[in-house]
Amino acid sequence: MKSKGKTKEEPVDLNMVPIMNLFLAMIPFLLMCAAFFQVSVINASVPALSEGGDSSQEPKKELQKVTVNVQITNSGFGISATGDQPDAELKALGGVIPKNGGKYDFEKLAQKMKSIKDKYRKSDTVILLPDKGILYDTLVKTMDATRERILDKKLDTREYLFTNAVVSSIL
Amino acid sequence: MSRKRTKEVEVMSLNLTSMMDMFTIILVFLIFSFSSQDQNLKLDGDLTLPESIAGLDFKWAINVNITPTELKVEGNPIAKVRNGKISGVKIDKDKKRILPLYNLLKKYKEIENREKVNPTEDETVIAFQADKNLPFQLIDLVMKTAAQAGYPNFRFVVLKK
Repeated sequence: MKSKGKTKEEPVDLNMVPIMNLFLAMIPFLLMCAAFFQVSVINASVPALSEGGDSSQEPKKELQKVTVNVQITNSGFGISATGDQPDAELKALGGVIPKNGGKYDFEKLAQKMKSIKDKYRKSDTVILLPDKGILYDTLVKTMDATRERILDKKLDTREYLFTNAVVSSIL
Repeated sequence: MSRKRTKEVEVMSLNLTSMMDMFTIILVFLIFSFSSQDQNLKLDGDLTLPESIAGLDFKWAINVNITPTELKVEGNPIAKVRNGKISGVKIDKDKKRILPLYNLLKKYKEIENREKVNPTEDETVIAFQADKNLPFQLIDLVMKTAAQAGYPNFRFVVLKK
């Protein structure tokens, strides 16, 4: 009876030292591996020569598809389109988006690309033709405007426009 | 006297509970921000990457970096960059290629054809890290050189907005 009473009185202390040691070892390791900024990538390509297909067969006309060319100059964007459609139809797709207050109007470019994509649903290729002096940052922002639109930032829902970007220089 | 004796018997113990709480919070935060991205990506401290809305994750690729002062492949300096132009190395102006870069990438391509170096099944591409303030003229020259050496596809490395 005496010993039972003694046990009840003794407070049980958890030995926290091994857990503390583990935490102290894990924190520096995780700090080293932690990413405080996120990196992503944009796929791009440069024009490559291809060995032409069978020339005896006439290629099938694709009327749901156009290739959009976006020239980036110091004054703004110049848009034109190529495809199997009649010249007048392709010409109507083109246009110029001048700078707005000295800045490139990426919003207007995105709207224009969306209207082209809505009309020609199978289109996915955009050829970007920046001027020599155009900054890399401007090229990346132009690629963003032509490639996708974020519909909902929280849910990360996106609408894809021209996902196949080809970067070339103006000859 | 009796008061003095009581002081000697008392054992001082540290209260670790609040410290444990703090460590737990830090640990949970760090585990959540733990990066599972490919460690092949070698970010260069000398350059400012452009920001983008792109959401694609990085995959294995050959690292080509252009800082405002240097052109590097896998961290090895290839040429100097001055005022947005390559300097100090031979450039083939007709074929539009930086010769040391072309020769190195050509060698990489030969090794790649001989041995399986790409851990992914996809075609090998170039992970392109360039400073956001560099002119397109320089970017174009590097891209054309890589394309001629057998790497026409690129992944532009950007910071997620």
